[in-house]
Amino acid sequence: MATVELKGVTKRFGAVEVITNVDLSIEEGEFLVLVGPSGCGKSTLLRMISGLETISVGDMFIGGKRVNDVPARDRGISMVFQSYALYPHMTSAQNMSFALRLAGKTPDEQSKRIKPAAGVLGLGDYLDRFPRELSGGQRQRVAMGRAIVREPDVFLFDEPLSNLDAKLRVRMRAELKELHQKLKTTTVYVTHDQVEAMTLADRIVVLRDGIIEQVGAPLELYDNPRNKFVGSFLGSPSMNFFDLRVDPDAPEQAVFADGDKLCLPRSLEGHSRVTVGIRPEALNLVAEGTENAISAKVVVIEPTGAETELFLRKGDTHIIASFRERLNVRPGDTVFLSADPAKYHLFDSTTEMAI
Amino acid sequence: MTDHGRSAPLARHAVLFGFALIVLFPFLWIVMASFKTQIALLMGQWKFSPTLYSYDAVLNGKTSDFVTNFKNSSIIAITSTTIVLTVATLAAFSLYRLRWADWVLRILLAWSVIFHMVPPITLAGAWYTMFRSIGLDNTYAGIILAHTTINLPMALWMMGVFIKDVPKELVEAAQIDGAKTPRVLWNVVVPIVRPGLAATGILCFIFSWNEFPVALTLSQRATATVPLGIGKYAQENTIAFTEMAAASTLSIVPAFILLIVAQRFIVRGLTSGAVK
Amino acid sequence: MKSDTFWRYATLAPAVILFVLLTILPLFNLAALSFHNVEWINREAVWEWVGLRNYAKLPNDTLFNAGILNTILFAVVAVAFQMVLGFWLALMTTRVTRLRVFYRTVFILPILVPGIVIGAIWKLMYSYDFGIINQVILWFGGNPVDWLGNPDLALMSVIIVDVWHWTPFCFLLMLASLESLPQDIFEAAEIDGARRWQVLRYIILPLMMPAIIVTFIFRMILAFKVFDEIYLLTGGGPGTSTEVISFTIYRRFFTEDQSGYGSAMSLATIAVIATMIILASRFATRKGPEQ
Repeated sequence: MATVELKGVTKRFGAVEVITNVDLSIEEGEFLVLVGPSGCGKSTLLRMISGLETISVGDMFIGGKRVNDVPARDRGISMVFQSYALYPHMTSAQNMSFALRLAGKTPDEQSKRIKPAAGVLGLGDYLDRFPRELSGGQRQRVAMGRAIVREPDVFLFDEPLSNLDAKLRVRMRAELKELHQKLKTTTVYVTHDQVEAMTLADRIVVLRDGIIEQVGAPLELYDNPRNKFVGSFLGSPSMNFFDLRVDPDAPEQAVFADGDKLCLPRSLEGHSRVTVGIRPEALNLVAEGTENAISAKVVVIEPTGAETELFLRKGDTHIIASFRERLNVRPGDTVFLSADPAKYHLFDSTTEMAI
Repeated sequence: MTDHGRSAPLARHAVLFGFALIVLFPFLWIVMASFKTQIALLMGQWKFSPTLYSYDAVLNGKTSDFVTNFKNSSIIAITSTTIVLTVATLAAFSLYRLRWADWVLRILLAWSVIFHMVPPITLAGAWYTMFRSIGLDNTYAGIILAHTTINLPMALWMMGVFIKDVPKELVEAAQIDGAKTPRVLWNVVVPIVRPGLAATGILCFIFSWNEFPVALTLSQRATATVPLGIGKYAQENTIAFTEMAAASTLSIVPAFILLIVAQRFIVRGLTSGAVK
Repeated sequence: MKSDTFWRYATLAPAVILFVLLTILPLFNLAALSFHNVEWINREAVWEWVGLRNYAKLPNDTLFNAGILNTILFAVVAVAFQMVLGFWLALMTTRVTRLRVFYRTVFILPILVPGIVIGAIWKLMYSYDFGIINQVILWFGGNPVDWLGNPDLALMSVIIVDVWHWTPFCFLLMLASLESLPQDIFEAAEIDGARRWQVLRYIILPLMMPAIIVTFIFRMILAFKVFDEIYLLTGGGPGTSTEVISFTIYRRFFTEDQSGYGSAMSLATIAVIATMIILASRFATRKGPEQ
């Protein structure tokens, strides 16, 4: 187990800067998730930690030791790839023991390390099979087994679940979390899936265009996004945003183009406009004339069984609202929605930062 | 997909079969000629009693070097193939998996393309002069070096195609697992590209075995290859036609065996070479 | 990191060294030779400076001129026939699924046989006195033809050999490309009401263009190197009727032992081919890829 520390880390490919001045410190035993849309630099950052990518500017420390010039094999890390990268010509056991073999461990020592790992992962019956004879989930487990047997200081995962079908993904997610609770190895995990990030992470790092947007515990980010991007990225369905005019005469009120009004939790004196973010599950259906209610027209109703999602339109703005109960509304109906002002997220309309 | 259910009309079968006959007939004819006596051949006889006379003359005749030629060709083709495979695999791995700058890749590939297009005979003169000044003329080493160079561009592209097929992540996984470059190559890449190595190797072997003009210029009697031996029959004043036929038949044997036992690799090699 | 850098260079080095020593150095060697007349006396080369005189001789060398002309004629005609025949045969025989392995074996065979053996086979078949071709002509009551000895026929005879030798290869590549075309496109075209020649013109040809170009280039390169068959069949004759450039260089450099002049000719040939490559690629890029 070890800490990982990044100080002013920057990565350039030619003239293109893909990672800009990243400072990050990962604690011992922590499960840290790097999340962001594709092209945000999360994989590059992970590969820089692994040593597969060089660091253009800045310093990287693993376990307190500067590793900028240490090759991947000597960093005490192991990595699970999106494609698993299993050696196709080796059996599961050989895949898992390859690193040990290279390190000069005897066959005895090798099997002593493989057995428990295979046990933990439920791979006991598949050790003599080749990757092509395994299912997606089994391959995934072998890839994890290969990472485990090295007993690394840091686990690195590069979108390890994205090649699995939805059902298996949920199961492997749980297994992964259990595994981490058992081994307590420092873990850095890259994903573009915010649900994975929310469910797995001790802390989430949201990246955009090579810059860290926010770092924090999942619910902390969910409840207090630092800016509109983080607010929209975490949570599914994603947060509704309303770009409103602040009433100059009553700065605690924000006004829609059609005249509907929202009572803000506090006065926004000095602002002429505000972006109000409301999560779909914070919206309630209310009767016409209720205070703080806004009108919207129902476009589509999507019952998923446990939940009902409403797709609505208010002027040019699309709204999504989700409900735990079943609703008696039809497309074309005009309904009234309101939310607890305490659950409003207020963002500056120009800087998009939380206010 | 739908075509497998539909069978082709008879006319198509006939066209294809006719084409195959036209391609095959000359080979059958020369094999037949090799079992004829010179007289039977010259009389244009179709009915003849097969004789091994020509084969005896080619293999055991006092004036025939054919056995030596066969030995020389084997040594030269096997050695040059081994070298070219090694060099090309190392280089292809280096170029496609060890992060060379783009211009390095381009210059090397462009040069190999240009060199591949130029008739080898244009460089044979320089090879001859250079080899002669360092005593490599009329040695195996000289011809082996020349054949290695001639086959290197093709081997480089083919191995490049095969190595590009090995996922980058496998190389990276091996690096993380603690493998240094030679290990990555030997324990991960080479086992995976083994079919590609077979395809490339077979083609290099056959092309070296068949190569004529450069061997002609760089060797003399002691190092002459099989094609030179056959060429010699045609050069003599009275052409020993049946012996030429027998030697030709024998010279096809290695390629024919490879074609039967390793056709899969040859097809793969020809198509991947053509893809480039 | 250090060992990685070392191996990076070490793996590429053998290929680079081979290329430098055996292709680039020889070019300089040829250049040096081409300004001299070289004679070998007791394994010692004696170099006599002649300046550009070797190059000046080239335009008046009938062999060289005939060699260049015949090589181009040979390559263009032979490859054109191979391409058209191969394409036509592929169109005719697609969907034939029986005896596949047999056919493939037969059609690959000529590619793997030494060129010199191809020459030997056809030397026997073309023979004036007992060759199978004249035998057949005699049966039908015709007069025997001197295929290789008649200056008007010799180049054509050689081209026929090359067409026989390489059409199967063109056929195999075309067939592979044709059979890899998505079938639903043909069905869509059928529904769109396309006639057979329209399917050929607007669907098959454009889609197969990459394969056609690759096959064409591959064949042209090889055709320009033609040597073995000529060496065995005609030796460039009769007269200069089948003289090809590789053979001229061989003759001048080795048979006549004119190293300097032969080198000048080699370099001139390389220059001609390089020019053609550049012109061809210019032409190809200006026309743009057909998509």
